[in-house]
Amino acid sequence: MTAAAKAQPESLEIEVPFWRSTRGLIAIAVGPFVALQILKRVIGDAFPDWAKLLPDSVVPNISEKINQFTDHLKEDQFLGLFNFRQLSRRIAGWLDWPLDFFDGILRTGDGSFGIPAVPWVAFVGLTAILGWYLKGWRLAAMAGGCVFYLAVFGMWDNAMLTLGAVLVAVPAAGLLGFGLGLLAAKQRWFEKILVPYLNILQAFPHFSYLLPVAVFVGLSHKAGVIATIIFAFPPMARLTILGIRGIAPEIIEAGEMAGATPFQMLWKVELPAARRALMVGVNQVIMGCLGMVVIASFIGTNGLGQELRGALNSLKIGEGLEIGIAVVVLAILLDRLSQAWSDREPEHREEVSTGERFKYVYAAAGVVVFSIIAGFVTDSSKIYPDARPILDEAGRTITNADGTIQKLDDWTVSFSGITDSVIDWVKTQDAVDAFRDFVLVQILLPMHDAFVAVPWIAGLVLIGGIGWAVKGPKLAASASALVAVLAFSGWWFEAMETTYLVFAAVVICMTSGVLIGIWASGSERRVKLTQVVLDTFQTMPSFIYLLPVIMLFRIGPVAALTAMVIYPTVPAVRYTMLGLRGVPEDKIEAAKTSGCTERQVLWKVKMPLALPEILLGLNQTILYTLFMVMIAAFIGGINGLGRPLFLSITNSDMGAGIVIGLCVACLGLIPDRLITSWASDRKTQLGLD
Amino acid sequence: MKKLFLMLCAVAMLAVACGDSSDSTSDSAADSADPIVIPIHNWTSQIVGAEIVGQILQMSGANVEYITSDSGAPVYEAMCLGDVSLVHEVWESSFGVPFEENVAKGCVVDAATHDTKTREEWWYPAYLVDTCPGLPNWEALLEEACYSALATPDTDGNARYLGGPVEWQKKDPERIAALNLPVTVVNAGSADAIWAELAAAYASEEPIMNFNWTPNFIDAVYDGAFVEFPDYEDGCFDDPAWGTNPDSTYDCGNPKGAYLKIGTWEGFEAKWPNAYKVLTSINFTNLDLATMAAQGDIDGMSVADNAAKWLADNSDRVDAWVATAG
Repeated sequence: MTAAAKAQPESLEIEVPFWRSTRGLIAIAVGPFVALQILKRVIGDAFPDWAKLLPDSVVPNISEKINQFTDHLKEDQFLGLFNFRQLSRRIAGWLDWPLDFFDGILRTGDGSFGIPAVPWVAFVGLTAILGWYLKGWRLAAMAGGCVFYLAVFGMWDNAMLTLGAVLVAVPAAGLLGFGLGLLAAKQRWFEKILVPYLNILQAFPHFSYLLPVAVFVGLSHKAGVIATIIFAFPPMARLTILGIRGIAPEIIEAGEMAGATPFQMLWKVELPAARRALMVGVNQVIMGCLGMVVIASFIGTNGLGQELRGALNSLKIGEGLEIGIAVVVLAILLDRLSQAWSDREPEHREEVSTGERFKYVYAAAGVVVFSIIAGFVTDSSKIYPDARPILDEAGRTITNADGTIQKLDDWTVSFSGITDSVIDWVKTQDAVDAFRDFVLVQILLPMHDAFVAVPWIAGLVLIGGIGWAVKGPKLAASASALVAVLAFSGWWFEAMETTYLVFAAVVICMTSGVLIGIWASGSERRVKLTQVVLDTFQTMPSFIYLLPVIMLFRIGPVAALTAMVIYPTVPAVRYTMLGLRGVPEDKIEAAKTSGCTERQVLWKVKMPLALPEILLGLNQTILYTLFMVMIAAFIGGINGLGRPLFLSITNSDMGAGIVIGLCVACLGLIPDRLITSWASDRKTQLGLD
Repeated sequence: MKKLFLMLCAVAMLAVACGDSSDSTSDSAADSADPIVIPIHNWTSQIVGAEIVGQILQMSGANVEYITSDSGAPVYEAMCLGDVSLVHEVWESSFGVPFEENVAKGCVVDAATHDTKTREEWWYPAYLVDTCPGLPNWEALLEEACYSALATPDTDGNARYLGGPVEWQKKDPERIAALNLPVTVVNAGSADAIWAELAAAYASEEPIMNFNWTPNFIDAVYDGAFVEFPDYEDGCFDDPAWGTNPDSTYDCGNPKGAYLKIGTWEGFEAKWPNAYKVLTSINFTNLDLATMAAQGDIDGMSVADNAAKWLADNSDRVDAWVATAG
């Protein structure tokens, strides 16, 4: 240990002793495992039965009450005029208007005015010009290329359906989240109501609200859009609160001194100042909306999601991958354009001369004129020749005499042949069998047994204890209350079966995510590259992984775990990068001047300072894993909360669906409470806030 | 606050008042111009069949609209409310419960029954006979060579049977107990999951026994057969005395000739009387469903091509169905 290394604490000005500063972290990380082992080996049989699993007689029948309530909403008249379902359907019906509007522009055109849909040639060109206008030729090439992909891979029609739905869902979710967030930022009492609600909503599995939406809105294209909005708005609300609250008081004061009206204050002072946080919110909304594409198709939303499920159903994995990439392409397109738009706004006010600005208008006009002329030359410039059937006026296919149907030419390409041959190779890989059996028998099954043996009362004490160590009695009470909810829901055993798989997945995701994050934050180029990879995996529909992992590992916990670890690694990497790159330069400089090696700078300076951020990543990873454990139920061979949730949907048992959803939410909220409160304390200690 | 509430009430009443006018249906014999809503589920014969049913209804002058949906209770709930106008593949064993519940409520009509007879049962690929020579007889599973070949590390030495998703509610554990079979059920999470595992097992000829049904595309792609349990008879599912095990129910196989029906929303006949006549005359056979499945899943035809080919190949029957319209 050199003098330089010893000098570090001084240069960092951390006065908190090591144990006090990290005991919460150690408690969170090691506590559950140690406690479980003790429980299982030493006092496994020491608990009376009621302490292990509450008997049915004391479990309140909440789901029955919920069902009575929803039946009341469904059937009974309200003020003697109408029932709630009629009301909710009328209100949801208003969504038809914007949906039809975008559908008209993108796909069908407007028959009554004889206006055709936007030709694909024009769409590619105009998107490219938009990219050029917002950022330059690179974005132009990327944006145009994205749209071109949709055409050339033969999914124009479905992609436009999905795009239309997303163009409705993103602004709706964004505005809803922004509005609620703004109100909460201004009014403390509203924040107190909103934030717990957002917490529950974000940890709530989608499948729990599919059924209510289907009943109160009706199985339809818009039902999926509404489910998407419900899923996508919470991050926007959260980041709005964060952004508005985070504005430096001096800025507000400057605004007040300049005599701004409340509206000017909001529009000209607060929103620009909070722009960074707001744009992260918009990014999350876009990602969330496209992440719901497949799930929304369960309740009637057409487009890429439905197409993807159809492809997977007949094991056309290559085709499924192409459709999945189309979803990713849409996400990246919308995200990059919206980010470029927000980056650009402040400068363009003064600098751009009139002539400069008009060049974009000229270019756009050029594209429009070109596509009109091209339209006279060949219909292929309007509708991309993707072998789709030609329809008559009534929407029927036209059949030739020999039974074949009239179709457009086929200009599409496909790489599904390559993917499918990879899949064929995967099917015959028997070498992984030994690995699978080892993981299953040596690791997963013992873990499963240990987790399900935990008596609820032990879980309650354990979580309460961790809460106490992290922050004191208040956190202890709120965290153990959530455990009590699980115990009294009557789903404790299933909840523990889910927890064990989630625990295993989180360990894998965090280990790999942090390592990748460390590597990625090494240089600006790596960051850029990693961002693209992360965006891809975040929006790639997870359903695509399910079938290949089954072929590799057979239906069971190993396959489920493999499918579960890809998506939740994304936030682990993202937050590690965020933390490491957010370490103040002066602290790194100080460490370097004290003679630290690169390795020392990383492990002794950067990592401790980035730790709170990384733990927020852990928090997100847990939520993402809970999302995946529900999807992994489509693989099967695992027990836990996923199956009863699907069963409740099959049986139209809305009450059970909601209770199970709440259980899943509790599983997410418990670590969330513990981690966020540890991380915020730690940030304050480190002077990072 | 009060103002807000009043405003909401006003909005709500306006919304309800505006909407109601368009809902009334006329009593005249002509079909309503509102579209008939046909659900699309996620297996090939159903998707192609929906397209075929839709085109036949269009031939009789109806407007048709498709929506995608889950095939379980939600679609029957939607049909009860009229959000979905019909379901043309009601499988007795998979969807009989929600269908019959809604028929009993009166909001769904049992409109017609196809000639198709469906069967759902344990199934094995042909190469398994080498390991279990007694197949298709179920007693082959009692031989050690057979069940230990099907065992995996997590089944305690028992054979592993890959069952359908839990929510399909097959009585596998009950049957295993009743027949005293050395078998552990592993429930797949979805139909796709079963096919994926079967595809991988079949490619390297690994022993496998899984849930399967007919008609579907598996018949055409893989060589195999159903396990023959004691034939189902009335009483097997509810009378313990019936069958080989005198103390237990479910000591038999699944019923072999289960129905495939067409269900409609209760208001269908009144709203589209002509279309109703055409719809109820539609009748698919086992061969029809198998053809649709094979054309899609093996020949890789698109849904449109597949439907068009079937319609052309069966134009006589289709014309007769369409002619039933008044």
